[in-house]
Amino acid sequence: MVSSKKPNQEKKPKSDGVNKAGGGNTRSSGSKPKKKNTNVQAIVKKEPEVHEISESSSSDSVEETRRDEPMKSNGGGVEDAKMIRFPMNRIRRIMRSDNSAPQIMQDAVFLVNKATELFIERFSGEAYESSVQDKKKFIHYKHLCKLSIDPSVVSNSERYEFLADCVPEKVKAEVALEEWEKSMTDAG
Amino acid sequence: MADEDRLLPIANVGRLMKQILPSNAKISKEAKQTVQECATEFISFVTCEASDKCHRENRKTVNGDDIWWALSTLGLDNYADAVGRYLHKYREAERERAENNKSSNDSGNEREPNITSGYSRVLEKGSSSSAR
Repeated sequence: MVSSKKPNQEKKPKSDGVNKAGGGNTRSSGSKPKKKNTNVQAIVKKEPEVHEISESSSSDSVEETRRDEPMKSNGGGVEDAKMIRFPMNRIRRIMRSDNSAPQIMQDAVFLVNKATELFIERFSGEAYESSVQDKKKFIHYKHLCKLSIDPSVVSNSERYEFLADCVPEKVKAEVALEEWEKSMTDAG
Repeated sequence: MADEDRLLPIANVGRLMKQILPSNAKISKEAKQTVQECATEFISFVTCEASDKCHRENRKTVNGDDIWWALSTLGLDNYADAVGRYLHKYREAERERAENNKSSNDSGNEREPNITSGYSRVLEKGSSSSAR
């Protein structure tokens, strides 16, 4: 099952790949099976654009610790600047998909990586505030939807209007059908 | 598989959200997927603006400055400020690395390119190309 694999991978992500790259790392990668290591290795191999991975075992353990710490997203921390959250390949692919720019420089991909990280942090944070105001335990779709439709509901004035198509308001199927039929009738 | 590839990996998105939110916060699966889509849309949104600028200026390559400019233009000044700092650090680290590479080449040492200096540490979280 694809979905069941992912949680396993989450527990011990890149450190396994890092360990492999590092070679003689005494850090145990735990009981994770070869399959996962192969995947991680494959990931490492697939992304030649990725910046060098540190080989020293001490830095691996530092990275391990750091991963568990909450990230500060003020753009000021040196360690924060060195860590990227998303695969550069994937970011590059997304950047290329809808856009006609034939070439994208590495620094641009990196910045988009960091900007996306900031975006998710802020967007989630505000959705959380919205859910708290709503007195709900879970952050639901509607808490995200509110942000794009009515920015005034949140204290910060982040601009999320560009997401209006991404998080449209939900309507009941019968209402949507009625509207659709009406538009067809008007057009015809 | 194609659908997964056009979005950011949800594991990374989920982990980031978990780290930033209080420990008692719970995220519905639908909300997580929505954030994943919105983040992808954000990337396209910014890139499109940067790309248009390059077109207008008859340039073929989008660079870091274009991204920074796009964020400022789109009213995402908060991001532009932080990103400006990252860009500065990135370029410093790249310079350092280039200097290190150069000095190692000069000395004739057959060193592996994985020199731990400046921008040498990358921690990619979770399953990146998890196109399963």
